[in-house]
Amino acid sequence: MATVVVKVRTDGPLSVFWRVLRANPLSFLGFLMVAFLGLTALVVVVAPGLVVPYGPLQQTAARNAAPSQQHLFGTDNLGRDIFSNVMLALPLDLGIGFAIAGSALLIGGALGLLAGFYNTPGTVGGWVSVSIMRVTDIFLSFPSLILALALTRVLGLGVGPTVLAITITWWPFYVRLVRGEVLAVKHLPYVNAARAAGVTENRILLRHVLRNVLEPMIVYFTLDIGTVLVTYSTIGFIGVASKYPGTSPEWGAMLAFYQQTGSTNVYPWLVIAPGAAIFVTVLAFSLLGDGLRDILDPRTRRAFVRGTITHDPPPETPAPLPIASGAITDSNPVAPVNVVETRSQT
Amino acid sequence: MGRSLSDLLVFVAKRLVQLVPVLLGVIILTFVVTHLRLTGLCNEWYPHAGATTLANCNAKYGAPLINQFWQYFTGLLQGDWGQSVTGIQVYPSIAADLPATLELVLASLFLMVVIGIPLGVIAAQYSGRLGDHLVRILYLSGWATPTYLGAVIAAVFIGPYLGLPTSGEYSTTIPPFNQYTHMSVVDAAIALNLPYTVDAIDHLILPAVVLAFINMGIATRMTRASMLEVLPLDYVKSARMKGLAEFWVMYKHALRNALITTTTVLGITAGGLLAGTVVIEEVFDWPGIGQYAFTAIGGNSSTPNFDGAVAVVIIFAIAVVVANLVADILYGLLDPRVDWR
Repeated sequence: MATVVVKVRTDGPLSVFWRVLRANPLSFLGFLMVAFLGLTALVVVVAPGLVVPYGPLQQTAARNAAPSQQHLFGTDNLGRDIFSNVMLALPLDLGIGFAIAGSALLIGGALGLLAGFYNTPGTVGGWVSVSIMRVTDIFLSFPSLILALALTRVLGLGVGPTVLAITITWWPFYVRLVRGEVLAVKHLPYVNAARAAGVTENRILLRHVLRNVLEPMIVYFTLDIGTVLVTYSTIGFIGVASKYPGTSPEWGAMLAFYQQTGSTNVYPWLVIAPGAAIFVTVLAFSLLGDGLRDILDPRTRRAFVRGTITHDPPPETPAPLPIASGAITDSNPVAPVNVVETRSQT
Repeated sequence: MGRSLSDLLVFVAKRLVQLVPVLLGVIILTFVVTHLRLTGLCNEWYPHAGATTLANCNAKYGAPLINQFWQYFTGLLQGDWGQSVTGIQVYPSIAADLPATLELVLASLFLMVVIGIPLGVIAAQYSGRLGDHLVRILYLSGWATPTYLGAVIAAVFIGPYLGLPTSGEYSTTIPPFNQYTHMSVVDAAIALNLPYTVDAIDHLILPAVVLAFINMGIATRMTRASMLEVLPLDYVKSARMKGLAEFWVMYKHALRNALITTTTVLGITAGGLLAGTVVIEEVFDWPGIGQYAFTAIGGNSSTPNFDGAVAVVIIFAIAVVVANLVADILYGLLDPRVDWR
């Protein structure tokens, strides 16, 4: 008697990561860079002695020294080691990126789920849904940086208020993203099947709908960390977020300080080191996230699928996509913005 | 299918009407979030102010929020945008600064279109191969460059290396002349003075290129995605089959349809371009609204200006809303499938 082994492939929200990493060398590079930066940040926090040779304010004998073995990124006019300050800023900047994008994901995601799922007109849910979307639309009219800047001056100077200010301007983006995904998913047969089987609405939302909109949320979150970092360090550059020199250095504030006080054309490492640090960090998240985002856009997704399934004969009609969830199907095929959500750079 | 002229008027009018509640919301939201923390607001903004200034400030911002809003809103309708703590009216300063920013943003948008879109075509043409990867690295590098970093590198290293000016709209050797539009290149051209015009363009190059480089990714990415959608279609195949050179297949047939989606770039990047001007104008000493915002809000600024900051937030939001409106209307005009009724 022959045994038929049926392999059921479970598509967890993370499995898509591996498919993209396999298919796109740049995403894989980004993944390696992010992993390296994350590990380094961990070492800086747990055992700073291993990677941070000097204290942030420690004045060494070498003043305005060019990069050397003792001072990898050189020193400033008081002999402060630039490499140590750049390294010390890494966990802070990464933590800020995760904190802001994470809070925005949770707040915006929850509101987007509500607005997308309980949107029957005439009910309480319908009213709540419309209100959420109107407020979101208005928030989305502001360039995040400008509103966050004004907010930091109202909430107070420093790291905490700045994080809060950016979070206030950041969540609406996730509302629009998640609501769109929920609207695309909520009428699919498996949701109707669950409803017919007597599953309660709340359970459908949390078990069936949420699970299938997680993938685009996570993908977007990955790309967003870089954008958050750019915004935060820009506010740092404008002189509102962090004070440099100080015990907790930050790249944007560091660059602003040396650009205003140092002779940057004579001692270029003063601005190049913190600038390169932020560039590499944001590039790492962008390389990873940009490749992942290809699968969110129905147009590039098709090309992506064609590119990955090379061992199969090319299908006449578009084959069932290997990525099960997250289809961005706009009910109106000619709606002006039928593109993947894009946040403009700050 | 309604695509007649009267339908178009309805199409545009509908969008203009929809604009009103959004603008009202923008004003209310800006006012509320900036006035939320009333206690200590004056100390926060004007730490070095004298006793009388602080007393005036506290009197102004001590009233109940709803009264303050009513006063602000009625003033706004009459063109009174408030004044800085030193008594300088906000509106005239902003009105004088707006054209310079518009010039910078339009120049960047132009560069984004003429460079970013062909790059997107190349990326789609070589999808998944070396060309695609190179283009992706290029636009992600722009994406990963914070505006201040790009501006500082251009101003400190690239500008002097190429011999391009890095400060202001004109060289200091140029005497003042009639500024009709407050756009440097346009004014010089109106004065029919070729050396002035060349000088103005030289000054515009670096800030515009930095702003365009940083924001170009969206245009490239969107063009690439639309091209990938269009390339497998039959009409592209038949253009190729009739023996048309690949260049014309790409740029005349495929890109023409792909570009319709790219018009939405206008709306999406408006926020990024405007926010970028805050840092770029400060670094390049460009006398626009971004520099005004930097001085009004900046933490290192010696002349913080609360009313000016609120006004700038509202202006930037209105600019984004208007850019989205223009993109929306443009899309409706270009895509024959959009019903105007």
